[in-house]
Amino acid sequence: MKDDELDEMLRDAALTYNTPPEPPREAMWEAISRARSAASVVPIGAPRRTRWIATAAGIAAVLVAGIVIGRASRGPVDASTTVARVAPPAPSAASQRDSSASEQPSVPNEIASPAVVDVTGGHREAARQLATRAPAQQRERVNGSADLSNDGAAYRLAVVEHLTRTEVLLTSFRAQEQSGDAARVDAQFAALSRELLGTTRLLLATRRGDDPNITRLLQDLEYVLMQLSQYANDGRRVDLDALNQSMDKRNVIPKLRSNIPAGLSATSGT
Amino acid sequence: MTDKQLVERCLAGDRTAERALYDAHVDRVYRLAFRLAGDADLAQDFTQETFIRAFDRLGQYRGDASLATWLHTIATSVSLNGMRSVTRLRARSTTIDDVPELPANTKRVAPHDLRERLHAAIDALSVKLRPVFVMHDVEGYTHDEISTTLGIPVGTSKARLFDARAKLRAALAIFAGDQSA
Repeated sequence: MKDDELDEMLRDAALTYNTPPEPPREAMWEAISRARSAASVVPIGAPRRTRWIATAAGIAAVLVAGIVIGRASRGPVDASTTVARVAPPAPSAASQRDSSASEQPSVPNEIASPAVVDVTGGHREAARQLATRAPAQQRERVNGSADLSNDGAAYRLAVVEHLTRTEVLLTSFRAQEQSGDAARVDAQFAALSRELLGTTRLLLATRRGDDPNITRLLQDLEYVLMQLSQYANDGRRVDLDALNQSMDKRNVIPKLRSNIPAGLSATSGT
Repeated sequence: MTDKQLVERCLAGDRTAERALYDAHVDRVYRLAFRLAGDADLAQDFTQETFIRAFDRLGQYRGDASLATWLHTIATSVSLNGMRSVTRLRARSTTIDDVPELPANTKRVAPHDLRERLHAAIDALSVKLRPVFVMHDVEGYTHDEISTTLGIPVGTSKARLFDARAKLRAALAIFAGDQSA
């Protein structure tokens, strides 16, 4: 074969390489608009009109049921072991000088993580307190109160909430599957898994502090959620098998639970 | 309306202008993302991410390059980073059983197989060579545009294209030789 013929084949191959289909313009515009409005700051507790209300209610129900069962089976809760009740910092000179300042709410209300559904006020509060556990010297600098305006703290808050939501999703999926009902994965479930996949990627792209465990966990979640979205879209048995294999091989649910503070996990105490 | 006027209207919160910007550029951004990703879902994700980032950073657009070039810079960065992540994940989950076997007899390759093999050869180009080849020979970008988009000198862009073509020609010659044997 001559050089000219080779070049012609090359040109032909180039023209037919990954030929794009018609772009889904409207679907992409909707997703972009949704992501942008979710990323905008929303005051905690403010009413949010989203299509996820039904999903959020389901997630909240699972969370509450898990916590109630957990607490009922554990008996009276020892306040000192509850993660959400962080012991107040030792009184410092700064905090003694201005004791009234320490009585102020330490967390600005308007801080919210992107694309996070407000599951329940109590859990959000617990997650926020966990996320704001800053080094002692940092706490002193702000008169004993945690500083959520700090990027790292806001990032930790977003991660904790995201892990909680993902655990709920994966746990309910596993429960459905074990009851032989995996085929009943509906469009809303698919949309939620896609949304969580997007948030996972966002958290990976904007990671702070470079905690290698969290990064690895988020990478595992990215993979598993990608498979879950695929299965939810196509409903193929082979995708389900691959998903189960990945979840088991990567120990995703146990890892999630070990990274979610007690009292926040959907299955805590059970 | 010029790029700058459109950007100013977007920055002022004009939703119609945002949609106009999207409509004007989405097709080409999606084409580029698809050519680089080779997958409709990934291309959709990359395109969405490109516009989300672009709208967030619109205030940083200075008008030095055209809005299209600025958007394609973001699109390329998002797509290549996304592909790196996908490749890493796929590599982590691929077992030896997943690797397809090569056909025992590669002689008498039909033309469409030859084309598929060439596509595979393009896929196999390194992360430095493939974007330049795809942008220049597939999507018709100029070396100046590639230079701005990828942040490399024009000479480097030309050299990478030359290398990419040489590698593909070599891959093609092997199969062409088999075919003529």
